[in-house]
Amino acid sequence: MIEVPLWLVPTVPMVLVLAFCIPRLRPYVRGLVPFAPLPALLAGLADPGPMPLRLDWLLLGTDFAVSKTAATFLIFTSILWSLAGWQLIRLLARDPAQDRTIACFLFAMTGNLGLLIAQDIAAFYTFFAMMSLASWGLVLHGGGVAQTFAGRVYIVFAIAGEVALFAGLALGHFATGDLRLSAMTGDTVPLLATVLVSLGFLIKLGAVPMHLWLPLAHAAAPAPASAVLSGAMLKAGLFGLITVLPLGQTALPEIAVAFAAMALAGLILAPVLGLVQQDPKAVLAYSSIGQMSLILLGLAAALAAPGAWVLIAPALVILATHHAFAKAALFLGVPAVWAVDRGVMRTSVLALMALPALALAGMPGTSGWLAKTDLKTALEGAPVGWSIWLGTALFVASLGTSLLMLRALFLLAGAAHKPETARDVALPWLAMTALVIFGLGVANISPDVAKTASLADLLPIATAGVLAGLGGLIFHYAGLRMEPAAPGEVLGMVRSVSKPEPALKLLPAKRAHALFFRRPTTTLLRPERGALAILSIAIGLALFTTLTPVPASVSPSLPTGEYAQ
Amino acid sequence: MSEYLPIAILMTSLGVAPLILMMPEHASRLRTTVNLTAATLKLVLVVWLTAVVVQGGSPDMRFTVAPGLDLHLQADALSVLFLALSAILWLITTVYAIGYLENGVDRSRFFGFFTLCVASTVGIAMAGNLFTFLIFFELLTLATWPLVVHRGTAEAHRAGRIYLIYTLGGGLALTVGTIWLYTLAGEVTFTPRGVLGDLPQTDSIALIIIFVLLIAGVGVKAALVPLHGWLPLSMVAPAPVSALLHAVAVVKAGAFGIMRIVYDVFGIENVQELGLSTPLALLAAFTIIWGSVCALTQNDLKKRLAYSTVSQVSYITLGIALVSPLAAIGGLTHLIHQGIMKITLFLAAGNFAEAHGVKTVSAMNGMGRLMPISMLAFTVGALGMIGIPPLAGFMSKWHLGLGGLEAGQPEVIALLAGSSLLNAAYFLPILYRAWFLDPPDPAPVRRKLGWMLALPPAMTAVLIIAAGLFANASFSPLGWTRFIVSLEYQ
Repeated sequence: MIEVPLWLVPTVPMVLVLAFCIPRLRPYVRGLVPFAPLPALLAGLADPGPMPLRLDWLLLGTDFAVSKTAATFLIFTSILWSLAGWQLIRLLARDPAQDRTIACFLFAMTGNLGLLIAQDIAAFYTFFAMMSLASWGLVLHGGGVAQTFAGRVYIVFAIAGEVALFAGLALGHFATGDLRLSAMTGDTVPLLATVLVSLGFLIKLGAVPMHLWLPLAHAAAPAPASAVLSGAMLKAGLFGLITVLPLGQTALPEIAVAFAAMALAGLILAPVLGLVQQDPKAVLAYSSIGQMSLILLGLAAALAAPGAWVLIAPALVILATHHAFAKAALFLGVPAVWAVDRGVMRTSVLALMALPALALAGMPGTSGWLAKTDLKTALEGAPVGWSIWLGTALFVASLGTSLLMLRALFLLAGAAHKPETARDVALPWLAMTALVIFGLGVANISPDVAKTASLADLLPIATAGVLAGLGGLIFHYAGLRMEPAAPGEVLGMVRSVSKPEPALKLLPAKRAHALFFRRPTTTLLRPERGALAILSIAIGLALFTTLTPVPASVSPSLPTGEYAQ
Repeated sequence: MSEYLPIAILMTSLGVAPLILMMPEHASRLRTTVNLTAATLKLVLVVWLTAVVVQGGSPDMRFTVAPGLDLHLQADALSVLFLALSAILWLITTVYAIGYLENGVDRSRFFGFFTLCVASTVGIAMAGNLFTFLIFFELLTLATWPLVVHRGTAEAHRAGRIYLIYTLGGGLALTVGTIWLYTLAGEVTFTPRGVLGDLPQTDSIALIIIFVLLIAGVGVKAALVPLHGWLPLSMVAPAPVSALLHAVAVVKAGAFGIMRIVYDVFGIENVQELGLSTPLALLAAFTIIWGSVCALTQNDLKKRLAYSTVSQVSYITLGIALVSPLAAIGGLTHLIHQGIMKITLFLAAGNFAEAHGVKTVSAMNGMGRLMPISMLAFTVGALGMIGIPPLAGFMSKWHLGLGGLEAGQPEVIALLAGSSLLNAAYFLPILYRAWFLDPPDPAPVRRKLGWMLALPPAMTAVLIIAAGLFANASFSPLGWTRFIVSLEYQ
């Protein structure tokens, strides 16, 4: 493997941003966008990892290095940015605002790749801020009503996250006197610092209830931007959490309970709210919330039982990598669907898109199945009180994802043909789809392949199929159609938001078919209120189950002490 | 040779000012040459002085005015900090002002007082005792008034009148405090860790009153709430004046005065013993929030920036008042950082007004497309003000926050977080309009900008990035303030 100096990782995309300032160079720079993450990819693949780099004069004294986890993250992150960049320059080739968006894209890329190699607080925070703020420009691309609203919500959350990070990092750094980010895991770091820093990362991860920006932003941004938002940037939140939380060292029961509650709420909310969306990209975004909740569940278990981390950590890395490739393939597929009219072509595109969809749903034999079974095994190390509902939670997660995937594909099948979309947007999508199959291998992950699939693993997908079929039949025979749900969920209740009427309306399409309803009832269900109710029930349940004391007679299913370091 | 440096630096502006004032109006080429030569010469001399101070030198000059009353010029590390700021930004602003006032009227008057204004800041920076400080501080008041009323409109005269009422009132308080202190302690030479030494207990009430008088005197210029009323009004002045007022001259002279009074007159330990540091910190905290809240409600771009100055300058005061070396580093660095950020914002704002007549936030739509360079500079300045890393503002906030923790006041973190949120709330909508909304069609065009207007904000924007990015290098503002603070807190 080629030895790459680490400073090239953030510098190459940054130089491209600077070159972008000269209008005459722009056509050349655009062509180079897909190659900007190349040093990062090489740094991730290098074995042994690249030489650590110490730059005393930069910021407050900067350290660059690639840890083992970071190498995996670097690989999938750089591949995603590369392929998304390829599609972005093709998709926006005739867009007058393309230069602004590509500049923002390169900026966000610099941040995303840089934060994976930054070892000190100042550099990490710099790259994180760069990524968060530049993505604002990606969300706002297009400038429509939806983009404006999404942009406003996004930037509020992003700035809140920045400020929480600032406060948490300052508190932590003062307590340890150490500028290395990994020092945040130390014993002397106050709990408040850990909470604040986690808050900053949870916003990025899209944990419920800090997820409100996520579906809006993913739906508003151009598809390749959504692909990196969902595939790469959410993982930056995960990477941050892995770096700053004392996983495998100290138990933080309070934070574990909070994480578990957020995860459960997310697992339930994501399908409920995602299914009523009309935009396939919004449906995919809700599926991301569900998947991130699953990751959060793993983190919660590890925080409750540090001994389980040795198994949970690899499972989470596999889950993150798998989700990055599969979700990016789905997002990149959206323009590919637009590019073709209904017919054989679209059917073939959709058939190929079913592959990452099935992987996400956990179809046996796919990367998703590997990730989920790994996580399932790892979670057996969780505290005993948890095992009551962990199985159910994993089932709900798979069921929810399967339903969301069906919904997304259904919506894509009916999506309008956009002839102005260049057909070559399909090339990066095809490459990404191939990575759904081979991606884990590329990322140097060799999961335990000795596992065999059981028929029970098919249960969530089968249940989802049955439910979807039944739902389709009911909708068809009752002549129901779905009105668009309010974007922004609870934010839709804020009066100043001028959006379509904030309600899920089940309206009879034709009077004659109105078997179930005598007269048109306008507001039957308000999803955002239902969501609030579900959220509170979920949090209550989670608190109840985790706080219930375990009878002393029950022996733990997995010894927690043995793995503790 | 180097002992003449202070007077030489002072003369590059104080000696040149009368020359410019006497020049005929049409001699614009001569005026420009003199202006730029003086500014460049000053910069060279300041670099030389910095080298001298780094090697441990402290050039010193005295002129006895009356027995016991000396005009004392002295260059220490703190002076060099302020001198460097004024030398660099004066050169940049002079270039800008020459372009800005091309074909203007009364240019000899303008540049004469402009130079006098800078001369005063040089004097303030190198004042070796309180009396000298007072003289130059008052000279600054008188030199800026003609600049504020330069346009000669009724509004400008009203702003000028209010400016004089506030600053002369402050000057009076400062004078009374100075005389009182001289009668108590003899000559008050600025010395690290305070000249007053061990305070006799009996004098503490008098000392508290003197401290309040002195701080109120300089606090007017530093725009501490409730003494800030003049600042938003003086926005009627031409853009380069606003830039200089907010970044280098008036406001900074006030903040620098607070530094001298707390560190070199009273000494930070004495201030703490007198129970004065906490009230000062609270006042600064209140000003930080109050200024930001006021800024939120302004549609006039320059007024919004003015209230932002009220808020940001109090970071410096906060850093001084928190008894902690780290907070002091944060505050002192912000003297420089706020200067380069605010001058960038004002120069860019001036460009918007000059090129397209855009003076309000609501008219900023599409500015990024119409004036990409100025808008980029403005963006860097605004993000720096919010405290986004790696820009200069982040480094100040980071050290202030750590300083708050060191001083045992973790509320400072909450204050900084709140201030960052407010800064974001009033700066980001401007950036949104400028970059993501379409310009009016057709866009109103007033004049084409030459390089003399476009380049200065771009240069200061580069300084903002460099000051943050290379913060750990010894030549950065942060590196220099670490050196200064190591002298004060030994």
